[in-house]
Amino acid sequence: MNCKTIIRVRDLTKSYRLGDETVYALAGVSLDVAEGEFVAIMGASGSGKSTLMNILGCLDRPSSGVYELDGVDVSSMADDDLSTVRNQKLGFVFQSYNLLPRMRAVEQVMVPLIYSNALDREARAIEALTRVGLESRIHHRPTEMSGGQQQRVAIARALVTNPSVLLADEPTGNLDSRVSEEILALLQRLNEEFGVTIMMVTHESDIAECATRTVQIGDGRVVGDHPVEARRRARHEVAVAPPRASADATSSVGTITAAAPAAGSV
Amino acid sequence: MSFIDSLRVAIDSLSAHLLRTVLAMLGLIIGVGAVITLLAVGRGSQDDVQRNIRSLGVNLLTVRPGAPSTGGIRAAAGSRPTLTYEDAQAIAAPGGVDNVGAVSVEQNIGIQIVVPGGSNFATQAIGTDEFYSIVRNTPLASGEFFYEDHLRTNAMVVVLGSNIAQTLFGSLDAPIGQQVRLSLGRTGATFTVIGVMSSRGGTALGNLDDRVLVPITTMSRTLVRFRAPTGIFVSTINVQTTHPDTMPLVAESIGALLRERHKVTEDDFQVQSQQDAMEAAAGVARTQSVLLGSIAGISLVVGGIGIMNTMLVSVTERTREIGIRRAVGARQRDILMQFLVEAILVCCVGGLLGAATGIGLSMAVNGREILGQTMHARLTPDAVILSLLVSIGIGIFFGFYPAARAARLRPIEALRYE
Repeated sequence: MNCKTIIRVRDLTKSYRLGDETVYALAGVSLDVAEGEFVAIMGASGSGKSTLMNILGCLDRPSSGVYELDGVDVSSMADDDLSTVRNQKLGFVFQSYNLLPRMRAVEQVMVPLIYSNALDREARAIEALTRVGLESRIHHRPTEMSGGQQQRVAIARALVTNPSVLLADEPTGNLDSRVSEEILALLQRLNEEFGVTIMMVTHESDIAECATRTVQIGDGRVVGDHPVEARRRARHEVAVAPPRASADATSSVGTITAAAPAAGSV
Repeated sequence: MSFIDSLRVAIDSLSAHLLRTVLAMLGLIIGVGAVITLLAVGRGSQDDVQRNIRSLGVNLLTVRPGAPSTGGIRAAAGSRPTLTYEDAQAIAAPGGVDNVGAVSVEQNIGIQIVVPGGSNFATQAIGTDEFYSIVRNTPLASGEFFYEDHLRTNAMVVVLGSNIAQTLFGSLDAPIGQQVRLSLGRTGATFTVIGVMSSRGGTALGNLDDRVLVPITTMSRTLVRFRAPTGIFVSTINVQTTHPDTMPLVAESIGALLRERHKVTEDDFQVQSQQDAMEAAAGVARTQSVLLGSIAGISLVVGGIGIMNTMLVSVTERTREIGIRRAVGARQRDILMQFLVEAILVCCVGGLLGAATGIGLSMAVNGREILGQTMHARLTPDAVILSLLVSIGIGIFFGFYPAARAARLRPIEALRYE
């Protein structure tokens, strides 16, 4: 794997004024993430990990410090430019899926492409849905899909623009453990086989062990940063138990492997 | 984000909330419909007024006492009487004014008409001469009109308007030869009915069917009982010209003759052509339709506010959607465009439906009798186009604030919105 730095953060702070007091949500964070890493960001609630993710996701601006994404300083960019960065370099996966109501899966995945004025939207959306194993659910609406399927649509939407970094904010938080393992397995495969750089917020060490590196955040600072010694394979095989789910799981695994040479990496 | 994309998103979102969309449009539909209908009815009544005036006589010059004023409308009524029956006779006399056809005078007074049976009626008596029926283009329904002799001899004869005849005698033929008493305050006299005018219907100048006609000389002697040294005062001299083209020339000649007769240098009378009267009346009608249109325009504004309200609700309801779109790369202007297009689309559809309503209503009203008056509506394309443009304008104006509010939402806050 190459060692190109994709995220470079130096002395990042985020402060809010609360009456006369200045409260620091981030009190000087420095962090480097290389291309192809799968970083789990851990920390208690209120530790600042969500604030860090919002800034890394260009949804919020730091109060001070440097944030370079793919070699470009984004900490002082104009709003429109940040939108373009979010569109082209970042992909988001949220705890609550955040799909648009009423839209079919393929339309959901096409939304980011609308804003980049891409031409072959439908083909690319179908390709992304195939990558996450949803080629049979292309025309389903959120209300017609399970939580795991909805989250996979969200992952397809995040991947469709071939972003530099995939940001996942507790992606398994709303899912039961069996489906969580499926999603984690999918993220692991995307990371390993397609080289997608992933930043994932979680507060469960069990889930963090699926990453290649964990970063501990506490009181707005990095309090621990180490590689995962014994990386855990997400047990997606567990999902094979019920017949219907087994079909789903195997098809998803099969597709990823099959699609791997054609899809290329980031 | 292209315009087509914005349009597609707008159509999706509007059709997802069909009832709300239709309710939002309703104000606009009613507003546009009302504007178009009222403008059409306004135009129709403008036509009516012109038709009425034209029917009062063609190639007609009207001489009235009082200084002339601009715009064809006298600033004040009740000008000092200066015109006389003798002035009219001088205009009509051979060698008076060239290119003149019939000349007729009118003097209105309020009178009470009493039938021997006991019924009575308060109305206006018009003192006039034997040329009235020609100049005013009004034929008789029965009997006969005044002769020159009636005027010379102050004959106690009267011609009734059709309404009066109907009301007091029950038919247009019955009054002929009957006696009626006309009284003005304490004075009064008994007249013999010699004719009944045919019905003209209400006109812009009041309902002539309610009037009675008496010879001007008789009126002066038996009712008004006043005769100035210069002659019998009249309020109007109507002069028919032989050809429309000669009207300015005739007006000039009348002016010269009257100045000489009145021994004045400044005009103490004014000569108005039928054209002037028509323009003045059309001006009044136009003002009226603009007024009506403006009142209807208020409902357009109310409709616009309704749309703004709906759009604000829609923005609030879709805060999370806005957050998601911003997160995946929508710029502020993309969000602005999306909601603006949505508002404009609502207004366009509402405007079209309103135009259809207005056109339908105008056609339904046209020629129908409403409250005893025959309505005329004339649809003009400019009214329809104007209302459509105004609805698009309303969409932009009232859609902008909600759209700008949506665009200004901060992505993280919008995403967190429950």
